[in-house]
Amino acid sequence: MERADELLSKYFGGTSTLSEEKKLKAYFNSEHVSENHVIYKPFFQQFTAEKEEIYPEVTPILRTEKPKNNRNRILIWIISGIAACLLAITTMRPLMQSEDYLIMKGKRIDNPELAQQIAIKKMEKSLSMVNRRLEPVEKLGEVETQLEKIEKISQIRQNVHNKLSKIK
Amino acid sequence: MEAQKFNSIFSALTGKLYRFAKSMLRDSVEAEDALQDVQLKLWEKRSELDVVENMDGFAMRVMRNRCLDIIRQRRETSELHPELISDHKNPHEQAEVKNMTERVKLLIDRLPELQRSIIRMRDVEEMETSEIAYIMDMSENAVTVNLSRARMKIKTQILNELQAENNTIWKEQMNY
Repeated sequence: MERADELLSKYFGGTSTLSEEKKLKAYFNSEHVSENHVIYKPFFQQFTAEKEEIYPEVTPILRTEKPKNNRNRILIWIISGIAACLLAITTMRPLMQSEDYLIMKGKRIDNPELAQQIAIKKMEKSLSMVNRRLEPVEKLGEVETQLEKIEKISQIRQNVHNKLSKIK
Repeated sequence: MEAQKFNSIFSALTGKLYRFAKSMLRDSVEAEDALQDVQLKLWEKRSELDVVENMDGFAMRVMRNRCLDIIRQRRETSELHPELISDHKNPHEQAEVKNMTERVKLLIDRLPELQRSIIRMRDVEEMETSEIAYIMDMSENAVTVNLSRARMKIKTQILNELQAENNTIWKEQMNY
């Protein structure tokens, strides 16, 4: 090997590349190692021997069910879900109860019976106001009936007058 | 991620992860335990693995953290362990390691944990400097420096040992 000394120098300096080191290994595992390099032969042979060392076989994992940490994750999801539901119920409850109260002149009335009484009173007051407005209309009707009566009298008069004129 | 897909990815990484753990822990039994721990840890995180770009690097990083935990536990329990006693092999034990290749292995095992991990990731697993930097949580420059130091240490040790051997042979010949 022509560059053996140069590569060895780089090798011991820690600056050789992997491909250069592979060349050195191939050289030292061959039968053509020059005499001045023979002392390094076991050095490189040792690394090759170590790589060929038998290592124990590891039992493969056969488990197919979800591992413990996944179960924990599911548990965390369930707990989080329950917590979210509780939070939603707590937040929504006042809104759901809002049908049972009345705001009266800016004041909140939570007692439903009282609220109902107030509402009925309000409606009665409104009805009486409507009735009062209708009173003049009712009087107009009376006037109309009276006028109709007057009209009938004039018709009777006319009829009598006509009959009298015929008799004459 | 399905169990089948996970197993296929993990089995391709097993050798690399085991060697890395064994290198860090210097104990094959503990390395096997660490491998199983990492397998379970990755399985638990499998939902996140689909978005991991560098699966090898990510798994090696998880393994490194697991090994560091084991080393920390060892220190807390103060048990006598290969990592703590390996540097104190007696000369007789050292002499038993006759094979030069095994001697290199012993020298690598004696390196500090950081250098040991880096040299094996590079020279055994053939990983890029950037990948090693990610796993070790350090800069690429720091990886290069530590890699160079580790290689130089072993080289010096080998040369020293050979020198010592030659001296012994020479002395024996002189005495003869």
